[in-house]
Amino acid sequence: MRVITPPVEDFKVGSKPFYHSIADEVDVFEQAANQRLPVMLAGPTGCGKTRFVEYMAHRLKVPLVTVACHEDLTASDLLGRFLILGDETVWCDGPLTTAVRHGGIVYLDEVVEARNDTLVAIHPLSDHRRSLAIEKLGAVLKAPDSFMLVLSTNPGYQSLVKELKPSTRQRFIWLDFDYPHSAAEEAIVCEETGVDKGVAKALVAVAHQVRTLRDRGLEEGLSTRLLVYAGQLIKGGLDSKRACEVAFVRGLSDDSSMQEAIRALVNDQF
Amino acid sequence: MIRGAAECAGVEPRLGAEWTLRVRSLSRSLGWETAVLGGDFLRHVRLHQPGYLATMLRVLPEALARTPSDRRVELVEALKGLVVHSPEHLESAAVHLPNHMERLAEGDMEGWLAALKLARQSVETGDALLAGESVEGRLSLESAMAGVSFFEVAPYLQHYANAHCGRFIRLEATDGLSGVFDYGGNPHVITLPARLREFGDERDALSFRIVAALAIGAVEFGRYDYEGEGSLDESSITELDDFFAAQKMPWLARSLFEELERYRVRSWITIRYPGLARDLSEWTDALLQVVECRPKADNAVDQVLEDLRGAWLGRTQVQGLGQELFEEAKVRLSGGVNVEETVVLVKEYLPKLLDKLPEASGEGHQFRVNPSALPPMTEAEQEREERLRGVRGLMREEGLESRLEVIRTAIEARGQQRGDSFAEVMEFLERNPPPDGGLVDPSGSETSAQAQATAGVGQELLPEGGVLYAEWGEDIADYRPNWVRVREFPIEGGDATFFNRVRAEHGAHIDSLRRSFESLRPEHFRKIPREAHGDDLDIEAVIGAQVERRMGGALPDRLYTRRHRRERNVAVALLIDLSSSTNEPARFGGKRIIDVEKEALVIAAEALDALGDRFALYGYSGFSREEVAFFVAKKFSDPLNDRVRAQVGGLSFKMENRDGAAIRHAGQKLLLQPAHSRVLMLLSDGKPLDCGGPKYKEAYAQEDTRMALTELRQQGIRSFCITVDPRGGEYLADVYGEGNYIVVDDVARLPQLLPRFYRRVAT
Repeated sequence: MRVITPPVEDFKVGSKPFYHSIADEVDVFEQAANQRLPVMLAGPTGCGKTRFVEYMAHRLKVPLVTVACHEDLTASDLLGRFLILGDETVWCDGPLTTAVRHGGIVYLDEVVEARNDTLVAIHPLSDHRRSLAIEKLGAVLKAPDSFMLVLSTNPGYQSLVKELKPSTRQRFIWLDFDYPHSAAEEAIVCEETGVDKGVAKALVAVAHQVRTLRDRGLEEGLSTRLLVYAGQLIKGGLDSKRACEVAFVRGLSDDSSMQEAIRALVNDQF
Repeated sequence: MIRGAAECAGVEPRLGAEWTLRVRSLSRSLGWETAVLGGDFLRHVRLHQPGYLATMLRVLPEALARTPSDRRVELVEALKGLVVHSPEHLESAAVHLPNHMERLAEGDMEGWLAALKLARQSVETGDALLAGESVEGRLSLESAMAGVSFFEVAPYLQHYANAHCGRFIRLEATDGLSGVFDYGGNPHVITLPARLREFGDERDALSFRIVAALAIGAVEFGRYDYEGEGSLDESSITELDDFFAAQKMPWLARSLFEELERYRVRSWITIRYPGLARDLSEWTDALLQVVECRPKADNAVDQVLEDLRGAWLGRTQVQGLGQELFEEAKVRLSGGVNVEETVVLVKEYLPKLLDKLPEASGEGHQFRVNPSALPPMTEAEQEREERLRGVRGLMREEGLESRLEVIRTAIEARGQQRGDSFAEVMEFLERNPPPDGGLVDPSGSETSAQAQATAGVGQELLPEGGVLYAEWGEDIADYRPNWVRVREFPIEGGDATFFNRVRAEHGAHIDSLRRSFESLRPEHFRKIPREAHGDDLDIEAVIGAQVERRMGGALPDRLYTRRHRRERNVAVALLIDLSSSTNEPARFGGKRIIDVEKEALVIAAEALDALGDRFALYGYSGFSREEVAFFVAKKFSDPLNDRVRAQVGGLSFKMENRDGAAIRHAGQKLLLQPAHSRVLMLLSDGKPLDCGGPKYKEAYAQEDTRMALTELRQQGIRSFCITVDPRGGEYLADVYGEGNYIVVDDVARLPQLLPRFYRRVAT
């Protein structure tokens, strides 16, 4: 029976991603990679977790397979499934199997969105066994040394309704992320968008104020990612207030009074 | 003089005598002109609608008394406008129009009355419109008022203030623009104007943001971070209080501080918020164009403070000490300095201001009204204040306080502060019962406006506990906002005996119901065959496809099975009627209705517990719209334990049942539950009825209940009723909808009936 595995080239990180190190996260991640330990990245939406993983994959020179988790994600979605191609039945590797075969990083983004029974499939890969049992093939794959399991979670809003099982939680090195401090965030916005320091400073000032509204009517803070979007639109020539409106004022909340408040905070700066 | 007024009115002797009697006390304080004005109006009524003369004789004096002296002509003209075409609304207009005087600018009243189209309205609807107690009445009043109210902008400004200060800070409404920079002494509260109408156009909305930013800025930029010398005095909240108290003239030190703080805060705004600083400059420029130049202050001290404020706004004609202070403030309070700099400047310039005091006092001028600056009250004045406080306490609940204040102000403004006259007015008001108005002063008091900022639509949180809900008025075909107060009460006494007895008595039924409910529990996964995409091959489909292909057909593409997940996510509120009628015997079994209801509650609770659905147990009763009592036996988060069982045992009959309010309150609690399906189950013994007021019965009560259920349905909450009223079928179909109620006389029937209904509403 034929086994189809997507080629490794599809998963290589091309050019070096921009990443502004905040603390010792690069060192910790490298140590975990050296020791073949799985890593959990915990932090709010849009604070740079995914960018960090891309950066580390490039730095470690390994392919990166990313999976956006959701509640209907099944074990088959991760491991692979049989397909009928004409007369032939083939096995198509899922992203987890693909990463194991290529010895890359598999990054399960927003992992708590996946059901616990699905996540059990990753347990053998996250301890000393570092193996992946594919029941339908009757095969057990041994992960190469370069294989690394990386998960991310947002402990803010997600923890209200969902939690990882303790047996899953206790398998990872935890790296906490947060939004960068002002100077770092301004540098990131400048670097990513090309706007001048004044604009970056104003955007970051708005972000810091909006973030204080978290849990006071706002589910999530204003992410660095959305600041970058706003900066890109401003750099492209859009009016600053309009850029902020479409980049984050409308998107952060459906509550019109909250939108109006964020709009006023933008107007304070621009 | 009084006789003269009656003669002017030209009324018949009996009515004239009554007019004389009623107006005597008021004319003493309100004067001859008002008496003539009233007489003129009464003559108009006698001419066109003589049948309404007696009524107007009765209500007019109070209406005139409650209207500011400079608006009485406007009031009388407005009433005259109703005499010919809408005389049936005259009484209501006389009662309610004075309440709106403060909110409606001069000249706005006529347009508002025209917009109400009173000639087309019934007496009840017109009364609700004029009182502003119906939604339409309130909206029309809002649209008639110029400018922007605090109420409109408070929801977003609350977030705005929180974001600036990095913490929750309470917004309150105050009178006028000047209060914004008042030193409130509370670092957790910011006061904003109740209404801004400086521009009379959309710029008033911008004004609110600017004014809010200034008030917030005072807190944000460390006004309350001042650290004085020595320890904080026991009576002080902040060290600034101690600083002011230590000055020779505390109120003057505070006034100077407030004016100087404007400069410091503005400087910070310029540094931190370039966009806001630009808007602030444009706003002050525009304000100078529309705000009349203030008349020259009548004393030198106020003139300095006025100059300082004028210079901040951008006025150029400043001189003397005001000019000197302005120059100093411009330099020393710029660049983002802390509050200590303001205090230093106050210390430095306060003696110079004090030097000007004798000059001012010598001229006999009054300073700004400031409690600490007034001489102590005499014994008689203190006694009068005590009396006033007592009357206020009584009247606050009736919404009369604001009227009292208007009258008192009117009296005092005329310099006639004699106790007798004031007492007569009090007696007059006490003889005349208040109109049936809203629980909350519709003029938008600080409390209601502030609370509305945080409360949800259609309800209002009350600081003293309880929530106000709207009620549907069948008589006016509109909602009465903030009409019913629901308060939660603990359940006293009770133990688990009742609960356990029911479980023992109805064990078989409970087991049956549990099994029946467990069958409602869906499988977590369902395998769906013949899918285009899926986790596994569908062997039957693959075999069929191969056969098809070998026969020369095309290969079907639906060859997989997919697992589809279905999970229960239901929240249920069980609401039990605890009205006094439930103390009566049920038709069967020799039990009281309340016992049958509670048995049904226990059985339903056991079944829901088996099913694993989140549920809460509530009871309700109360008396009148002011006191609907809501009892919580089990919150959604509580497990079904002995404490809950004891609380259920403690549920007992109380008084009335105002179903609409209780349903709305339970609905709000359901909405807070993160569930896909929300269900309200009401256990009742009969029609909604509240004898605590004249209206809540029959059609009015049933229509309000029906509307409450409609509101819930619109919010995604399904509801049904279990009743022990054998005549329930006569009205429940109209209220709950066909098929959404069960009439039971014996709880033994519940196991058969309940799952059928529950399956319909909760799966």
